Amino acid sequence: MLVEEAVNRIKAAGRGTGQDWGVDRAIDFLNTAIQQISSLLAANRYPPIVKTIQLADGDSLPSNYLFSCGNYPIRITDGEVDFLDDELTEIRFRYFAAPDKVVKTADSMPFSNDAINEVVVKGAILLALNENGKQIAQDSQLVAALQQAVTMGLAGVQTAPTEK
Amino acid sequence: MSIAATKIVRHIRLQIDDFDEVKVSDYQILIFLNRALAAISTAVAARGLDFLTASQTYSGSSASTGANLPDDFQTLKEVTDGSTGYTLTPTYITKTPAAYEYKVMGEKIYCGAASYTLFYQKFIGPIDSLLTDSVAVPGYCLGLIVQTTVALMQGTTPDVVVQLINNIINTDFPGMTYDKQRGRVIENAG
Repeated sequence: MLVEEAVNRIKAAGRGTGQDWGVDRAIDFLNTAIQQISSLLAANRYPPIVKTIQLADGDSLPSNYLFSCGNYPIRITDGEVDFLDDELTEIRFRYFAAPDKVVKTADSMPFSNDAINEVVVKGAILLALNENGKQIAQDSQLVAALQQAVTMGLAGVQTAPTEK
Repeated sequence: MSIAATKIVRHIRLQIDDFDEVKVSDYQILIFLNRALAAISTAVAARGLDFLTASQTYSGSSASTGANLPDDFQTLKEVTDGSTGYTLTPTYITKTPAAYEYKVMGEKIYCGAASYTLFYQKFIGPIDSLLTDSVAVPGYCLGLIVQTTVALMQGTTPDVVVQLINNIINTDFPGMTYDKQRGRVIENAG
């Protein structure tokens, strides 16, 4: 999915309520939603957003660092790494990375899985409408359900369909 | 007769459902694996099982100076005379051993014989690298090592871990061992 499509959908959602956001504004909403969804994916330990680097004593953490996969013998102070084990010169370090921000409409959405991109767009629309004080209680329930469906599906957990 | 560390790690990751390496790091597994090996060494040595038995030959009397014990020394099984093969006798810690006697003090063995062989239960591990090292134990120990490591990683209390190790030894390990006193294979006392 391209950012352009996502932006158009955000703008379309506003039109029904008489709102019109600029492209930059829509991309801002999109980026906030991407951050929210990445935190959700990281909390569910979603392997596709894991990155591996070689870390040396005194290195700075990568800017997209969220948290590490398991424990490593390091101490993090102000974004910098101290090795606690002097015998190590380098550590193969795995961490959950936040995806890059989207900048322009020609960019691709950060996730290769379009189901996740859908949730991002829904989340961005919600943020946009919330900005203007619209009634979003039902929508937010919908997004919460979508997020849950995505994370459950990713984690390989079977959920029984709830009856209404 | 050894199990590659990579194989052990694979089994551990299967057990904890983490082939993606998102829950625990290799470093964590290394630490807990070494702790598990230490616990297993102690338990197996206490049972007197054969595969931990090792020997080291010393030449020259060490009655007053003492000779260093092997690095992987855990418990002593027997000391024999180098020329006759007779079993030597442990002596008082305060005495300088005579030609037929020995004592162990600190990290040294003191023995009056001209040459002698130390039989001991060795300590398994620790290993330094999960990629290149291997653990010098028979293949049937794999389940024991994996289960013990996972139990330690999950914060199982020490007494439960000891119980677990003993249970697995009872079920997984071949029941026969070579008995030095009798000079033949006997059933493990358990």
